[in-house]
Amino acid sequence: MENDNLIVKILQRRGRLKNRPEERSFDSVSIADMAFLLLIFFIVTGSFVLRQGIFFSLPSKTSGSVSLDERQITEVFPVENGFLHNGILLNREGFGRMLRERGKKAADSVLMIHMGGKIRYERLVDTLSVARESGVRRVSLKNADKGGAL
Amino acid sequence: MRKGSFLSKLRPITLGSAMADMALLLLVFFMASTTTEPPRGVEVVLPKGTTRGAEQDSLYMTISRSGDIYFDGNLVELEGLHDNLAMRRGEKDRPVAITADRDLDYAYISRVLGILQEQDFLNVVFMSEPRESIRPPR
Repeated sequence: MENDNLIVKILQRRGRLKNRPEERSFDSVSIADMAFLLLIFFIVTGSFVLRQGIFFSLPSKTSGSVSLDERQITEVFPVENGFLHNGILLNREGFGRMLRERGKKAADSVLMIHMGGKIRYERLVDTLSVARESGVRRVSLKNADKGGAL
Repeated sequence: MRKGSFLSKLRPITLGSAMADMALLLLVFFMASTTTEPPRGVEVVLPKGTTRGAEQDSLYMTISRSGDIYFDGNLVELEGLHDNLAMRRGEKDRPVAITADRDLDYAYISRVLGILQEQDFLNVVFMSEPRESIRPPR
């Protein structure tokens, strides 16, 4: 608080009478309480498990068609016990090897996956995984029963 | 305690501000590093796949082994899914995380993908368990 007394003001200016610093403090215990409460809430409700997946972009309805060289296209029919390519049944390693070899021969190759309606979803994920492991970037998904590609 | 001894001169102090600091630090860490469990609606067995990156901020769709579709935790029919997506057109840039049972027939997935494409939701994530042994090339 300001003191209006002139003598006090002069003394203050001369430094003989110093203002006592007011002790200012706030109660931080309540903040700590609240922070710990929120912390417990986040520990209980949160999960550290990262949900992972295979990203896939669907073509737009309005997108046009692209013309590709036949050598760029690799067709595969995932079946329960492997991958059917040109009538030959390949296992996972064989299919991956074949994709890598084709990728070396033709740059920017496209993998066309023909999925039958009765084939399990797991086979699609596995086929996409092999494509990713083999460095295939462009994948076309086709319903083997209906036709039409995604 | 004897009067004037060293121990009697010690004043008890409270570490309220330090506690608050620590609690807030931990709070920020937990808020940044944890994710909340998405609404699933039904438990499914995920297929194994070579994944890269974690999905975030997606629309969640779960498809059970019997083909029941749960959108944001609610059971919907195919028509219902169509309507739900139509109502959320503004969020079409968000990826749709499809959590489907590994033994589900592809025919169900195909129908759902068709609807997503119709409604212009073009970013899809096929949720899967990471395959431990194989690492994708960088």
